Amino acid sequence: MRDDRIDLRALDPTLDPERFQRLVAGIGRGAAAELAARRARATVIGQITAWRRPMLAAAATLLIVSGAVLWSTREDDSREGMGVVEAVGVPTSLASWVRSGDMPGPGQLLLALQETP
Amino acid sequence: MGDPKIAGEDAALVERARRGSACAFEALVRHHYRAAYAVALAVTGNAMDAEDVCQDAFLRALDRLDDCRQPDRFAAWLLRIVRNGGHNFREYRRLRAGDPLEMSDPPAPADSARDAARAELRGRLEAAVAELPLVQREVVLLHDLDGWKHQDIAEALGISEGRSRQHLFHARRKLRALLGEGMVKEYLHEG
Repeated sequence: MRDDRIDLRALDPTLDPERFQRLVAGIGRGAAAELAARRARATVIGQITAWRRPMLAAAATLLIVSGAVLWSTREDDSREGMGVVEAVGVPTSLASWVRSGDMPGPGQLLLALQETP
Repeated sequence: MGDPKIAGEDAALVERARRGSACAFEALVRHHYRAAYAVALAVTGNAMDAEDVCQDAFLRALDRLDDCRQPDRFAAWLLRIVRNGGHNFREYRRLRAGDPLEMSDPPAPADSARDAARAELRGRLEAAVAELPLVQREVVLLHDLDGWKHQDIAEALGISEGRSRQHLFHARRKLRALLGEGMVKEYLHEG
């Protein structure tokens, strides 16, 4: 097929091999640091290093959450001395009568019912 | 470009360059330098600035390589970076010096008579190409300097194939008028 393209070869930057090599080498020098950084990131240690900051952030979050859970559990431990009866809101004196099997008098019973658990 | 083999090679090279392969990156530079230069020359209007824009564009492309979502279309992605870089360069030059950007810089001193003749020819071609509208410059340089097909030019420049053909037709006609038929060679090649 006949093509009427215009001869623009004089503008071709690759036509002079030495000059083109210098241009490519210049770009290569400029790219060296970024390429080295990419190679470092591509290794296992590099991956770990790259993930170091998010991993530290995740670990810190986990630490805070764990601390909060442990703290709230410790508060709950203070209720360990109570039995199931107290835990469901029955006044303490009533609970002790239930455990001991003693029969309270009417006055004691009235006072106990006014008692908060 | 549109060739699936080249597209596949580009995708593999981009993947290796992402992992830091200097060889792969150099291969990408060698494969696409002429196309990048064509666009940079179209935008800046002279060879020295075009080389600077190309160097900057390749380095930017490497920095942003992870953003290249279609590595098989690396060339079109790269040319967008070149175009933007070229326009930024023009704007920078305009603000700094107020120079008329369509003027070519004086050619570098030549080492020999052959180099001098080539430099003179290059100067005349650059001056003639600079007379064209930007899109015509891009189309004619990509097509006639780097052998791109209209389909690829259209994709890279965001125009239709028909418009690409029209721009090429008008660009060639104007270049012939500016340069004279004596300077314009015609090629016989297999299409």
